Amino acid sequence: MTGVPLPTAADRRIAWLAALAVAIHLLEAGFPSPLPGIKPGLANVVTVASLLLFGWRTAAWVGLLRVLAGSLLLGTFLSPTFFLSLGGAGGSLLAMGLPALLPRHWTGPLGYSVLGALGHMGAQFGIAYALFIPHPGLLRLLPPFLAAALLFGLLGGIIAHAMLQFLDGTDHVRAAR
Amino acid sequence: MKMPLRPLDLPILLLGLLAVVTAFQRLGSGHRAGAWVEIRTAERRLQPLPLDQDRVLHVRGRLGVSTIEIHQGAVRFLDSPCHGKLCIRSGWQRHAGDFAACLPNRVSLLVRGPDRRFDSINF
Amino acid sequence: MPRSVGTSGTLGRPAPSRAWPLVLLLALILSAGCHRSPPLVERQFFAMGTLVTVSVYGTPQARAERAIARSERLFDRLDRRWHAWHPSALTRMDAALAAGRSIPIPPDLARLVREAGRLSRLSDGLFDPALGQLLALWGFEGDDLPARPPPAASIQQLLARHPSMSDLVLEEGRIRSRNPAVRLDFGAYAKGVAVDRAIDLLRSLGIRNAIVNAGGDLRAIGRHGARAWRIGIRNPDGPGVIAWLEVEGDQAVFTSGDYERYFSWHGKRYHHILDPRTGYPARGSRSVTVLAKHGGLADAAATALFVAGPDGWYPIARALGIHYVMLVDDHGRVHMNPRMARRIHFPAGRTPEVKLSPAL
Repeated sequence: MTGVPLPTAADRRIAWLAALAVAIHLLEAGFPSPLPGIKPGLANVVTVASLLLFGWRTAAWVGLLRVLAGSLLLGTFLSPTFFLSLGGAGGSLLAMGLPALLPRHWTGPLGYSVLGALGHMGAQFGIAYALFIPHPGLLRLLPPFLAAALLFGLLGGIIAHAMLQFLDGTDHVRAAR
Repeated sequence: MKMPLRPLDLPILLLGLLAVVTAFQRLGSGHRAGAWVEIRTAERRLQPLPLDQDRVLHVRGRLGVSTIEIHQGAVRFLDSPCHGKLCIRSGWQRHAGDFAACLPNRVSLLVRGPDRRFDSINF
Repeated sequence: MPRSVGTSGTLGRPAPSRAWPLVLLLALILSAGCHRSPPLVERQFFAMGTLVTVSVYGTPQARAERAIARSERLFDRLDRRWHAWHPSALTRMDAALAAGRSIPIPPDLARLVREAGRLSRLSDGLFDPALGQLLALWGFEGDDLPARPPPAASIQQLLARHPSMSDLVLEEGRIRSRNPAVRLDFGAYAKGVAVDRAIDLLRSLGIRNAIVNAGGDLRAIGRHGARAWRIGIRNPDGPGVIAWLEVEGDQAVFTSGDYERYFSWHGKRYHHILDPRTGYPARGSRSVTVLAKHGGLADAAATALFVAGPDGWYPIARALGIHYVMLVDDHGRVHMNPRMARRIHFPAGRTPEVKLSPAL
């Protein structure tokens, strides 16, 4: 591995955050969902926290790494699930990227989390519709899915807020900032 | 737990709520989950339309305009510029695989959906 | 989860290397390859004056669509050759026959004339494509339907000239007619042959499971995945199906019904299946369904048996070598041979009165 620079502090930070997200991702995958297609998406909490702490770029790496590592560990890499997951993460990051362009203190964890959840659902739905089942009947599922996304977005926002509160008290984060 | 909201949080939340409400209004659950109709003319295939949204369409065919009605989960020819009017007499089509056609005007409609009973209809 | 930490830790070196965008791009390209296609591909198109539906099962979507597009072009080509009233190879031949001239006959038409002539003979002339003038007189040659029946005198005049397939003389690649009243209209036969040709084409393109349905008449090959193809037979008296059957392997299912093309005049219904003996729409049958090996045979047989009616169909079916017949008569009674009865299912609670014939 000559010529490859040593991991920087930022790299390590991303790796740790991604690891945390992957852990949540795997835990969630282990629990059967009461409704097919609907999951709390708590791994997005880590992305939201990363965004608020270190900015959108870090959050993007955390989000994409989570999808990649998660799919490798679950054995779904390059399967339809993987692309749905990837699209969801992409949609979520894009949606959260809009307020991230504005001054930082304008949007809080709740706003980011809700936007991320809706973007996630929207993108997954679009991909499922376009690639797998182009079926107008599928559109009927969109409203309940969106409602669930909103609900879990709210929940995620509250958890992300609590997580940030907790982290704020630790030296580690202050030093990183 | 105290939850301080930042300026954009509430607008984003309201926007999300609005999106959900509109989605329910526009795509809300009807009684005929999943069936839709494919309308075609000699030249083109129209975008599939869900059968649970009532509407009347005007489709231009070879002779003129055929009028097609979607109502309560079924679809039919309401009018067509042909002489025989067999398309109108075939009446309501509602099950997946059902279809009707105005051959002189080259306009046809085909119901598609998950509840398909037959692979092909012989007549 | 220490291993996952290690994994993302070593892989996730974002800023210094540009590897990740590449990996993602590669993943997206690969995804195009693994994109699974739905097992059933179905397309409809207008051809031969009707709506054709081709269904293909278990072939990748792109290949199935190419094959269906080729069968559409085949139908168009046959339409231009065999059309009975739009200018075609057939109308040019008809003009020469009416003028009493002998002309060279192209091989595809020679095959059609020879085979239709044989079936006409076997059916005792109940299927007779030489009666194009009668169809034209009624106005059933035309894209739309007529408004009223022709004068009885014109029908009698035409019948008195006895146009028939037996008037045609095919020799040394030429055709002539001993009777200028002969005009060929393969309406009740060409569709069946076209369906056969389309099935041959799909097979030559490597497709094993398919249905070609031309305006309700179909031939099915293979099966629908784990089960046979399920075919519904439309109810002559309203919406829905009167019966259904399963088909697999290779079989043509053809129905002639009085509800397919008809008009009303002074409260009376006139349909398009004309009885060559009377010159008027055949009476006694509402519909006849025939199963056979080929679409051409099934098409001609369904017409002949419809004209023969509930009392006359059996000997004609025997002569034509048909083994499966279902006839629905004027009173809604169903006439079947025992073999057909074993194949036919009626929807629950809607079993009609059935009259079984001797075995075929």
